[in-house]
Amino acid sequence: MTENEFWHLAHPNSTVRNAEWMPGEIELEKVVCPIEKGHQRGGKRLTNLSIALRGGAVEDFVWTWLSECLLQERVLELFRTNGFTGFDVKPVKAKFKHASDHDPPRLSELIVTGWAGMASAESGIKLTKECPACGLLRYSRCENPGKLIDVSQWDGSDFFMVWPLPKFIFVTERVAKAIRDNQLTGAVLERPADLSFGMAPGFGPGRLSYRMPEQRARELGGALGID
Amino acid sequence: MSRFHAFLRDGRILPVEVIRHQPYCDKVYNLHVDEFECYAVGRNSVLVHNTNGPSEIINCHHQLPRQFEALFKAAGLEIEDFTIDMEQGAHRLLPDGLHTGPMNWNWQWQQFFDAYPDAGPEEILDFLSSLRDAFGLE
Repeated sequence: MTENEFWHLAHPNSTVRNAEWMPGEIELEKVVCPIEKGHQRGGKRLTNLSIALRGGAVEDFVWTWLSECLLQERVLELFRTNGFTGFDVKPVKAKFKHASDHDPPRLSELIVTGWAGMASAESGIKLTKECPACGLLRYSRCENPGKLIDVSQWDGSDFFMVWPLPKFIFVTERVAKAIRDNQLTGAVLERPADLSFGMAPGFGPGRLSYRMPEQRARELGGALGID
Repeated sequence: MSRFHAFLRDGRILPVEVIRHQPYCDKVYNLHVDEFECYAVGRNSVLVHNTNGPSEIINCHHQLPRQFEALFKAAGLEIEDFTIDMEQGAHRLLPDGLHTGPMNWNWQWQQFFDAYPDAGPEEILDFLSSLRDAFGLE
């Protein structure tokens, strides 16, 4: 297996269809550092998603502004019948932002549980800051996205994450093919080498347990100090 | 050669052949389409919006977009403390508005939080400063 056989499953470039968090219905942990005021930040989301959808036809993949990936039932069914591994789902409460004459579709949030460890050293990503008091982690920018995935660390899952990019969903060619063959809408597939990180100066990923079930985060990230 | 052109939803740009003024006397509404502002009308899906170019309409631009308010709040920042007044054309209208086009203001924030989901206040304000420079905001 080489890096060329993986894909990044991403939200479309247009933000027009992005779903919004329902104000007041989602609880986000606030992390306050006892020694450094500037480390205050959002942490783990403590509740399931409750979102407002744009009107009109809802695509197979729906993305929130915070890049959470939501799946319509037929997509979830397709993933399950194909036996894809490395993901879990959480229920989503969805409504349309504006009055609509039809009900919103049933959606599930995709939680990636597959793992390809730390970004390879050749990617250029390095740990630059670690706060022992609040667990803040900072990493330098990616100089070579084509070398991001270290295949030797990959656990073989169809959906997987590379640290410190927990918001980026990587998939195998099997998944990419299923998406293409079934003409699923609302997501794009790009090669890891084509990844772009906009104007972000590096990575501030939070902790692994913010994105994965606690137990799984402990298993994978405990020894690495990122759980 | 026509001075005016119509933008169609499918990407075509067609010349306007004739403009007819039709007197009308009744209540009218200024249709505001959330976020995108433009909407398509008629059989050809001509893109229209409620005003064009410089106008007297002033919008309040949230430099820290409302869509990410939970993250800003967790970092101790209130979005209402970071608003500026902008002329509507420069804020939301095609072709040059901050919120128009594929790499618009809010898209940049989405990219930022993809990389920094747990950004702290200084990082957020540093990014805002870079974004203001990139978009030419004084």
